[in-house]
Amino acid sequence: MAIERYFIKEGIKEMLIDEYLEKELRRAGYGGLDIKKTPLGTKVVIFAERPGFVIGRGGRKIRELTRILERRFNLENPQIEVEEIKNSYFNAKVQATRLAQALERGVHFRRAAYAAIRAIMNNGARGVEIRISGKLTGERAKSVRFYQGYIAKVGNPAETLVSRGYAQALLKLGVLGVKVSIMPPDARLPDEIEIVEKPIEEEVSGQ
Amino acid sequence: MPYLLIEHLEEISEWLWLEYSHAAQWWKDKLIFTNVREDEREKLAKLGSVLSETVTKFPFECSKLIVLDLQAEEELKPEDIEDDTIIVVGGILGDAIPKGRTKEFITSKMKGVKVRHIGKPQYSIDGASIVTKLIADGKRIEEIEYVENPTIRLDNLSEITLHYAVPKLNGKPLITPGLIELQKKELGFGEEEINDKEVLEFFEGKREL
Repeated sequence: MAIERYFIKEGIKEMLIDEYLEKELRRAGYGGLDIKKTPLGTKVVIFAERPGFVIGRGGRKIRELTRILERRFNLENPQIEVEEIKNSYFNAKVQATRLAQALERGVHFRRAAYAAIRAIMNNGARGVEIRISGKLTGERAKSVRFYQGYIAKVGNPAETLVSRGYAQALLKLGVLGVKVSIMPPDARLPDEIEIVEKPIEEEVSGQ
Repeated sequence: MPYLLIEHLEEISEWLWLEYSHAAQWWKDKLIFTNVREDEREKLAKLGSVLSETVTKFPFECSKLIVLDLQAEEELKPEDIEDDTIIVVGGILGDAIPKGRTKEFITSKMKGVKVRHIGKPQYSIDGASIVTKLIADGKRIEEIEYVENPTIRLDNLSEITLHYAVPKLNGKPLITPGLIELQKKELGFGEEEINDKEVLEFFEGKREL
């Protein structure tokens, strides 16, 4: 197999696992995964807001997940590790799921989006963008974008610094798509350079 | 001048009413509605002629009819339109990805009619009416400008994108009058059982909804 195909195949597999876990671990506040190949097998790190839900009583859920990853997704000897998300405000996946949940509970989309923006910005994020699309108020489909602060849109910073998440809300009228992008407070753009003052001792030694 | 015929296929909502009114502004007394229920007759009569029969069962000679359908193979040309031509537009508030409902409800039920498209983009009902009017006045499709997915700023934190095309005249997009106000009105929300503080705390992860 050509090497490119191998990476594409691996990428697709990772995406499918991500999709599956998102559905399965919605209540646990699922926030992404990380797959690493080790000599002993595959290490899968699952990020979740409530790790207890992922592990389950006596580790039942985690054992079930391990089995599914091995059988259905053909991972080699998977070792699942669960990591707690400390700052869930800045995890776009978690916030997108929350927004979808709020919409499903019948909160008006604008109220929900504004509350989400406020919660994220109050905790110090540099910027946030939310896009909700679908039949928001019946009739024609449309999409509404909410935004505040600064968000990188292109280039390497957009790929590495911005956290992106997507979730779906199932409503009576149809499905609403929720996209969330968050620029966390520690994101540093490459052109933001700090100039360190020259230490004074050097001048003294030069004399 | 040719006639514009709108096959009425949806409930009259505020949005639909705005689009119909805008179309009526351009076509004046040459506008015909078909497939109208008795209870909606009076309302639509304010905008144009009303017929309760559907266009697909018309006793007319079909050669005078031109159906506008996104999936048509030929484009609408000024030469196609004569003084007594009737141009049919489906009165459908479409989805963001066209489902081909004009074909399902109109084109497939009629035989021997001319089927034409007015370019790649999906227009709203009033947008299609305006483009048709411009073509009837002698413009070609390539000469008609349009904006796809127009974005309207609502307030300092949000904007709305409409997923269809809007024709432009002299560089200015002809967005349905009153539509922006309607969108702003629909964005407002009243009192709900869940208050702002609860929603905010939910997003901070402090509580469940």
